[in-house]
Amino acid sequence: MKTSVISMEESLAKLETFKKEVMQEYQAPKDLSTEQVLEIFRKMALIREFDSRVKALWKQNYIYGLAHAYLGAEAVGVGACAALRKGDYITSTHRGHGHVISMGGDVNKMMSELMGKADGYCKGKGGSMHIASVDDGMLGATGIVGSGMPIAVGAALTASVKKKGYVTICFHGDGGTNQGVWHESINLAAAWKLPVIFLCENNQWAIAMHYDDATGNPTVADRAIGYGIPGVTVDGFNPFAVYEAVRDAVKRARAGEGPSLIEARYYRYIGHFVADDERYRDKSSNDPWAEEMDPIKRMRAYLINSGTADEEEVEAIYQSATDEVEASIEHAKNAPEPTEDTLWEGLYSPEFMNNFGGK
Amino acid sequence: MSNRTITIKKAINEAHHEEFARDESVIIMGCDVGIRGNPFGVTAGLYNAFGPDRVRDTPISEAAIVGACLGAAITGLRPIGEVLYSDWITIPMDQIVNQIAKIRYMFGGKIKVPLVIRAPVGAGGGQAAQHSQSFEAWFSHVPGLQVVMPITPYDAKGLLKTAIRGNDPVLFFEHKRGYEITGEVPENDFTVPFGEAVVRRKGDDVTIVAVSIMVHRALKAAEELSTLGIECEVIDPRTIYPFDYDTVMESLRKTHRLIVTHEATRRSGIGAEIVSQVVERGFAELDEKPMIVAGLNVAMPYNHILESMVIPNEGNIKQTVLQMMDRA
Amino acid sequence: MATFFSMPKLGMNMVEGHIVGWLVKEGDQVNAGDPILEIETDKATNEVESPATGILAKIIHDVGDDVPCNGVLAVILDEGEKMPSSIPEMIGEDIAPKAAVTSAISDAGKQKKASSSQKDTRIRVSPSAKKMAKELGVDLDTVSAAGSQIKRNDVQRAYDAMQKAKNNTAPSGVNAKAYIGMRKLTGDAMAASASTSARVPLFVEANAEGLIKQRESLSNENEKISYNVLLAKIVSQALREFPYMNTQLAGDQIWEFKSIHIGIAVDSENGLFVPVLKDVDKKDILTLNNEFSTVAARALNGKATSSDLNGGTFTITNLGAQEVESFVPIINLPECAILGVGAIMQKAAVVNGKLIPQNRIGLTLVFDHRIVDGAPAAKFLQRIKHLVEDLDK
Repeated sequence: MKTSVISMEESLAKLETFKKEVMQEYQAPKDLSTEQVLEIFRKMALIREFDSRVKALWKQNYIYGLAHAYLGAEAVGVGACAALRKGDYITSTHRGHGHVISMGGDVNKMMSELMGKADGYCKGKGGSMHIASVDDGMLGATGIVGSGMPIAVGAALTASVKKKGYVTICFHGDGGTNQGVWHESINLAAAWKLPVIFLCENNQWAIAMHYDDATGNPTVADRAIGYGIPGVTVDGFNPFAVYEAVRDAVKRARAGEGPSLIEARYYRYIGHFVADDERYRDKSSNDPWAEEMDPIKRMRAYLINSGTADEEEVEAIYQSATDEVEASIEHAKNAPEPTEDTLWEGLYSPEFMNNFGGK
Repeated sequence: MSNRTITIKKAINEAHHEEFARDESVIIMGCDVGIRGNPFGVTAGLYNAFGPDRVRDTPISEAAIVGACLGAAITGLRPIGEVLYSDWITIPMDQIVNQIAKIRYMFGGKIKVPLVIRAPVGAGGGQAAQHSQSFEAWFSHVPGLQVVMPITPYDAKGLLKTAIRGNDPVLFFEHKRGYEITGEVPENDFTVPFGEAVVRRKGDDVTIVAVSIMVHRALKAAEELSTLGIECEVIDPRTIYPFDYDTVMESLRKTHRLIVTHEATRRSGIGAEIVSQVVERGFAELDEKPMIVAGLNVAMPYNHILESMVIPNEGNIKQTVLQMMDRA
Repeated sequence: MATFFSMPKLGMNMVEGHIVGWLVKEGDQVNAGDPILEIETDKATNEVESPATGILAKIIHDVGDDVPCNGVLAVILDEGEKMPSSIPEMIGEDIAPKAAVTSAISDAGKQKKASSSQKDTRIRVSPSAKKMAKELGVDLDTVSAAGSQIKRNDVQRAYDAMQKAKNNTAPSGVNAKAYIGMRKLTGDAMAASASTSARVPLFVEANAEGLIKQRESLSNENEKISYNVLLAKIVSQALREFPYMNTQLAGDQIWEFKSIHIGIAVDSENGLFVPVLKDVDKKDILTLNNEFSTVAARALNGKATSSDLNGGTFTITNLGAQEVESFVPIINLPECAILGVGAIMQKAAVVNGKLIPQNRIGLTLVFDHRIVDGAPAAKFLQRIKHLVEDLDK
């Protein structure tokens, strides 16, 4: 009787396949300066530290409700957003913390929001699952799988109609690829040649279902053919691989050539959400992935081995991330709760609330 | 400033043209809204006047259309999304209920969502079960949305303009079998505010709150009842949320009798909410128990005789008034 | 064919029956008409017969169950017939109570009410009518409903009637005054008495010389004794001797009072008052006269207390001051009788065969023949006459 959806053998087999077919050697592309490379590492470290602490804080009930960690996925968000410039947009999934940081967000505001405090990004109204740093171009996390897809298309539509020249990355997961709206959105964007990049963060797991069991063809990028757009699979544990693919897609989009589909494949070797005890799978089957593919580990090794930075520098960067997160926790713990009269704020525009009360 | 008599269809068309000309951010997308000018002709001429960038024909992808309206709205456009039959609003329900209605709130109030979804409602003519529904009750139930149901050309034009110019999402439910209703509309630019009902006919004996097409049926019933010495006060709320209860209560304090009528299904329809609100606000004004005249609790049948049993008509309204006044 | 044996309706008001005993068991053969069940309704036990012949294949409700009328109790099948896949709970129409019915529910603890479409018997007034009545000062108890519920129209009707009563328009050539207040109270009371009591007047004339002397001897310059007080004293003595005149008709009883309280009618600008002298038989005349003056004064000033005006067992009314010889007053209900006193007049009297001028007084006793008959009443009046005339000895 099967109690685990994956066995150690199966996991190892998948790892082997991944290493053979998807994994790419870390190599910083020529168009990235050392500073930019180090900044990529810093952001990845920040995500790693932030979401590790989020797990602990959730267990202590400082953070409550639902929270989904971006651990192991750092390379995807950071690598992709490194190819964007100010004015570009992204839409997110339920795993939004990494996206906020990738777009240059403020961990103080994010930690406050996760603790529901009044000075959080969403004034305590959204929490982890609806975190949004709109001013940084991050159009919000969502709890509905795939729901960011058409919103990204709409953002790209504005760019097209107003000739604004910005692009939109639509982050979504393997789970989202089987929602009807995934198809509708890519199809529409392709038909209208909108400047949007559909980036599938394929961590191979939709909670307890492995992608191989969820679809006939588990290579997401293959679907691009159906829409007449370019599609590529890259190593999601490798920020440079992701960066390069997104950079090229952004170029195409800005040139008016329409959307692209990028599959950044990695592996979710943590629970789905911070309190997921992963009963559906043999937890130890995650270990080989964590061991060999952990992007922080790989990045550290690369920076030192490539001579980009020495060990001290690397540790200093990592430590700065740790400190920043520590400070954000202190900050958020001391931040005030929203007052009761703010319950009704933000449901409608201020003029509506003035006219109608909105209750 | 002169008035002309035009149809609701023409009024809606004019609103589009005028708002498109007034603000470059206004765009529209939906099936066949562009070159064909919408199957009913409602968006005729827009494509030629404003071009394919702003007047977009779409594939049959309501979820993408509505979701894209949201994405466009929060990044600087003022989109109008058309779902040709309100029955198909079920497909983009997630975008409307979980995204559009809530995104401003969830994100702390920062962004604005200036979008309009037009989704014509209305039964009759053998359109059958999947093309005859009206879901104002569903959307009135979702905080963050507004629901608008005009049934005169003046209101259709004025309310659509207000919807387009506002910064909050609006569901605009015109009646697809009411497009030929005529009425006076000024030539100049004007808007109609939300949350203001209109007393279409004054009377002392009973207050009839009528939604959409039922306004016209209630007026017909009122004419017949007048010959029997019963005078009905017919109120057209025009917007379902925000809803103008003050006008209804003022009327009730005069008549002490309430009937609510809508074409949508009786069970858990908007009539239930209106009655409960009125009872809460003015129980002591009621001399009779309030009644609702609405569609029967059944899927709309194709056959025309059966269909006419389901759709509430002026006879049903008249009968209910007579019963209420012990003159049945 | 399967027969569903159901709870019968054994009476107009029966709503449910209580199963007391099965006379057969599952699997038994039953014949149409055989008693197979005992039920209790309204404290009576009834046998219920089988509606069909066959096998009592399944018992659904057992001893102790309360089952509404038409509720299925058991299934009777033909030999070899299969149990139907679904057994209804009720057969035919639900017998829902159309109005509140309390009989036939044997055990108050077990409440198995069938669902009913009850009329709004609890809401006898519409909310708006209730508010309207309050605003207009209409007593809802006086409002009758045209339909099943008091509506605004009903309240309006009641109000209009109220107003009309206040504002009756008189024909021209007439000064109208409202028939309200004291006038109405007195008038309605008089009419009621006159139309209710079996009133019979008895007339005597008495020698009043002694009365006049008594009055003179007891009066002084400052205080004149009232004839009414003197007469009240005499009447109180007579009432002691004839207690059946100190009575009241109270529904289906006649009450004979132990105390003697005599009311004396007093005319005033504000109307007719009857201040009551308490325990007349126990007090002397001077005391009584003082009391009378005090109470009468209060009454005339409109300051009479409830005690002043209530509790009388007999009434005296005197129109002698207006030279009225005799009159037939209306009984002050619920008292048994009233004494009407006329003027003291010089008249021709025959005393010891001789015609002499004499001061005489006319006394009319009107009594309620429901309480007492003519002869006994006459005896009482005769005694009064003698007591009056005894004063002249």
